[in-house]
Amino acid sequence: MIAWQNTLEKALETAKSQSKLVFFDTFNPG
Amino acid sequence: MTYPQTEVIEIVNRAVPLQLDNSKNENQEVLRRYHHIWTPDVRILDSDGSQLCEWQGYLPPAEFAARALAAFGQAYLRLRRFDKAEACYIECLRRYPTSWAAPEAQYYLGVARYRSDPESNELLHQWSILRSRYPNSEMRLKQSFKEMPEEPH
Repeated sequence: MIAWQNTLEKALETAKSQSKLVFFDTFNPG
Repeated sequence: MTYPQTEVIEIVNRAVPLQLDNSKNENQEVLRRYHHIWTPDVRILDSDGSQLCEWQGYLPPAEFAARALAAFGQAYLRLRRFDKAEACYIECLRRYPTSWAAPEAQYYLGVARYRSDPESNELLHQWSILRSRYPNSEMRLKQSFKEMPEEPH
């Protein structure tokens, strides 16, 4: 499974600490 | 659905996965910042939030996986991490040689190797493979200036 983060700030913080890129997906629930 | 597929999950999880719902008010500021207009919308960001690559529109799982590998390659290329870019492009070409993303991977594999070692012949070598394997691709067109005969002096 994919453990999606749901805020940009938290994702960037994690990316910085883990030296990773961010895979940023935007969807529409409709 | 593309995300439940194992091959897609494994590739997405190489980065920090972030997913925003564009119908929620709390996400509008971030989506405006990235000029969001259409879904599905995928961006590859560095840890400062700078966008390094993007694509929009649905792709079936194998095409999505190939596109994601090429996108990671592009991101690492822009960050000048040529070894990582090369690895992404090689994986894309080995696993998904007939994908829509494969010609791009072939083109930029040459660029990554050239940027890593400008003395090598890898740019022209990889572009030669591109012409052979993907003759009708847009990426072939983008290197076609190398196919023109030189004007006489």
